[in-house]
Amino acid sequence: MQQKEPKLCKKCKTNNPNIIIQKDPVCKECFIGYVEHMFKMSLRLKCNITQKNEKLLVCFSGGQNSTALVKMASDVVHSTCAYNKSKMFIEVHVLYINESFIMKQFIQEYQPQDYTNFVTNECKLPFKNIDIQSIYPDPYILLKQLHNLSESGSSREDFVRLIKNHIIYDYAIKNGYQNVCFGQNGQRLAADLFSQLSKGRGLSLQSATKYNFSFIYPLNQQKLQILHPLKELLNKDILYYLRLKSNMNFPQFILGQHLSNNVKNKPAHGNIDHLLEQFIDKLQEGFPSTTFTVLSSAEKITIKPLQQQNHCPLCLEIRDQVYNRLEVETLDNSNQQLINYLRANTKYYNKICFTCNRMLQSAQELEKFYNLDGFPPLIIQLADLIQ
Amino acid sequence: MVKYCQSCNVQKAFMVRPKTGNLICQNCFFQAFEDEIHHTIISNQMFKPGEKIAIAASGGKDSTVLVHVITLLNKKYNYGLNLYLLSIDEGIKGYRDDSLETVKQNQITYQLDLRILSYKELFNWSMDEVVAQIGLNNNCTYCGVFRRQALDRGAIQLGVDKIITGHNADDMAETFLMNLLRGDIFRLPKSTAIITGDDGDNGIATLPRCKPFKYTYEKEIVMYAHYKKLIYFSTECTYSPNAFRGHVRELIKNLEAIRPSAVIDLIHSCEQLDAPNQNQKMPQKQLCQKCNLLSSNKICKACTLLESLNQGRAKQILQIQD
Repeated sequence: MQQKEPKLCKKCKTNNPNIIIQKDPVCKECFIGYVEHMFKMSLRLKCNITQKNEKLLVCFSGGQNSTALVKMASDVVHSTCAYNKSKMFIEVHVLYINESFIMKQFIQEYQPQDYTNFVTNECKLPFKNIDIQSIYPDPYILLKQLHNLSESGSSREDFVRLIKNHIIYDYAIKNGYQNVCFGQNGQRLAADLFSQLSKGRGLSLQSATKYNFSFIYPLNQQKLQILHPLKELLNKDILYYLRLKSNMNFPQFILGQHLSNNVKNKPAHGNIDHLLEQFIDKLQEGFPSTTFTVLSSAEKITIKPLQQQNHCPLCLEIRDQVYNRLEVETLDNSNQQLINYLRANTKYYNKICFTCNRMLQSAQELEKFYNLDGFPPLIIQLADLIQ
Repeated sequence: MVKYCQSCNVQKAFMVRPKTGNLICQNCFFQAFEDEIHHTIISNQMFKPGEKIAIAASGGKDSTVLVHVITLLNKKYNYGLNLYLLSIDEGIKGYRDDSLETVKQNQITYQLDLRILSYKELFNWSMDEVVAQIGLNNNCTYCGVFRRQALDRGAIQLGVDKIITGHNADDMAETFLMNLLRGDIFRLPKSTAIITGDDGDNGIATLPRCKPFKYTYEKEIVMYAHYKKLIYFSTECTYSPNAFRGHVRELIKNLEAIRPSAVIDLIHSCEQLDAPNQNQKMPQKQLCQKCNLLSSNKICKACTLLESLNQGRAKQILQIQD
């Protein structure tokens, strides 16, 4: 009886395979080589990082994806790749937004992490740590705003995200970084896209999943490039890469512990982002081409031309158009009066986009939100500038 | 403690409105439900006075409520429409044969003409026979393609100007996400179009299909039917548990549980989309060389699927003869 030949790594045809990349079984050495090569090609060809001494601001959150991104960036800058030692002559700085101030209020067992050793000593990259509350004149207003927002529907998480984006873009502009790099892999980008669509952000189809997306920062009309160089990778690729290259421990929180019972019992603890992550992850297991089909479709679709391209001062996205009043209100008299009141009596209601309106709709003290009371001066300045 | 309706603040609340999560009384709910459908029709200029409209009726909750509401609004607001019922019998035992009895009941209740067409008489295949041939995978593809053509043929026989279907907001949101998951970029922008088929590409016009329930939640349709005591057939299709749509349907339900406006938000997202960029080759509308109905290829999808079914049947007959 003919014995079946054992399968070997598809690339080197020598070693035993350890992981499947895009249907090909590869060994761990070839996997590392593939990831390093993919990262360099992404930066050069897809993200257009081609100039010598080009500055790259890498956004680090302490999570697995951004940890992998920082590791890869360090390898290309210091020529410490396992294979293909060619160096990229770019300047990489790592920015971390410290959310301890918020996390300690909501999660009892939260332990702040110090990433200085990892970034500065291990990866040998310049490291900037900014406290999220530092953008507020009175930091306790941030906590109050979060408490006022709904626990459900990712409203609080979205609010924190837009505050962080403001800090990132402001830091990037002030320090001369035109390129801002985020560590989301392809699977996370697909989940994030679905999450944004579920919140009404259809316009994000043109930006949320691209390798390289440019936008004009409204405050000073300077161009910023948002980069996603890890778009080619999936969750399992990142996990395996970190297993081989890093000793970092990633703290696990039990989600939803801090929520009230009626929210805790909702699907994914009432968090839209987690729900969509679970959805994409489950589909990806059953249908391995899910992530790349979604990302490929998003590349090809266009957006309807808008009569005006004005930004929302909260999320900095372009304000989308409402094509039918039933997208915004119902005809049962339960929200029309409130909408008319806010439109007539608050300063910035008409400047807030559809999705940010949804984020705020079940908040308490709505008038304060729509008047931007207590908001960071940067956001108020933007709101006054925008049409 | 008595809870009052958040719309009128007078009557006691009898339910939480699925679309808003607010308390509402029965009268305000019925009024809002009908007003929103009327607004959808008027704001999209869906009909013209004197038009003949075929209501695609399956006997299920969506089409039963559609028949009821359209008949009501037609009288109340003088749309001036001539309404007909059009039903398709896919040939699924224990499902379609039972639901058609409900359609016949609706015909008597609303005094409308009814036309029933069957897959067997149109294509010489019932869905039970199709599933016996191809198994339980991809049968929704066959059924969907055949039903589309069957509705067109039925509408031509009735001589109507438009077809209206009971596709609701949940259906549209599901279709949008499904098209994105399958990479169907040509259908993606039209996933939530309220009127389709009236663009007349290449001089080829098709019967427009309208969806007055575009902004109406499935849960509200169920509640409306229940509290108005409308009679409908509520069993799921025998072959639906294996459908890919089930994954997306479950997602939509979970999204609604977290944020009631999520369904409308998905529709809003889809409204921002335009056709694929010019580098993508768009399929050209043409007439099928076999059946002369609208197609994006020389032979339409229905004829292609039929050919594969007939070849399979021919192979079976040959095997038996051998």
